[in-house]
Amino acid sequence: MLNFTLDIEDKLLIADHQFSSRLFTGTGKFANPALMSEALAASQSELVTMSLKRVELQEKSDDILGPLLANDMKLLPNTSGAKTAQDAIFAAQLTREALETNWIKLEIHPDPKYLMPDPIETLKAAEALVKDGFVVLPYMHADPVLAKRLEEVGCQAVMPLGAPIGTNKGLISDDFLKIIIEQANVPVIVDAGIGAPSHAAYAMELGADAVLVNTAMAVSPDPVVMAKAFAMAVQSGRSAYLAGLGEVNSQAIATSPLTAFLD
Amino acid sequence: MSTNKNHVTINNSQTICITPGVSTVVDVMIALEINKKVAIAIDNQIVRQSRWPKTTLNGGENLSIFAAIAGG
Repeated sequence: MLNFTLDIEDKLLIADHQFSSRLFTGTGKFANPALMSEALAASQSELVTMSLKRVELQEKSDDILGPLLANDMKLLPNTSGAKTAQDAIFAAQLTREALETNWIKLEIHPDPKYLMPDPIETLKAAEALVKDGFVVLPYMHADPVLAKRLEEVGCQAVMPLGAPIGTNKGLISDDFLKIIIEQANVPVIVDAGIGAPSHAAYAMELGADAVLVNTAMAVSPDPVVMAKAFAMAVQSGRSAYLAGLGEVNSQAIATSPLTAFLD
Repeated sequence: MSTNKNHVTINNSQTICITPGVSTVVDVMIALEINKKVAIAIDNQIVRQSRWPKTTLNGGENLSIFAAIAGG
């Protein structure tokens, strides 16, 4: 397997936590916990998302935390299922109790068909949660104005979507992601819609600080190999961004001295 | 014999009878054999873990127990 590391120190800092890997992963949709653990290890991810739900009283073996904590993963619980700011605040407070973390991925999507994040409720909840001591990472539209507003109320990062959750469509919002990245003073984590390693590499080439991948990895026929592919893609995209990409031109610019030969 | 006045509803699905031996949040956790990291709310009010031993349940209340599950 191709493996490489950057020669320079290139850590990602969010709040008080430093990450070596810029690939964040979700834990949903894996066929079983063992496969999830193996894939997460292969991804080299250091941050994983999860949800909180009412316990199934008859189910005694649904604890996903064991392997994550054993691997020293940073936990980022989400507020999935919240339809309003009030729901999300309640969910965040529950996760703080259950998981003993003040980190929260704030997501509020009232519409189950497209799972579009509600910008007004998200901003409202973000402000309240920051005041309550949470490290808030909001899932949001690729809306540069909203990103600034969320930054201004104290969010420690923003998580604009590449495409709707689970669609694997890639960065259909890239024009707006570029603006968010250009203007942000907090880390930008591209979340949702990343369906292939090339999408992740593209996000990193744009200057995203990290990407969050779940569905593409979990539903692959071979999640472990796919996880490795994403890890390499994120490193590759980050390296390209740091190296500096060439200018895009609408006309050809010769790479050989053709005019000298013809003259 | 217990009556409905002695029952607490758990996660909107199951009831448990409050007795002198099973009366606090901790007692219920033990009775249900729940030993993983969870959060508790009674009638949608979160109960901090430090208060579980002293929080007595009353008949007719709704106890919600939340735990982490896989998610993105």
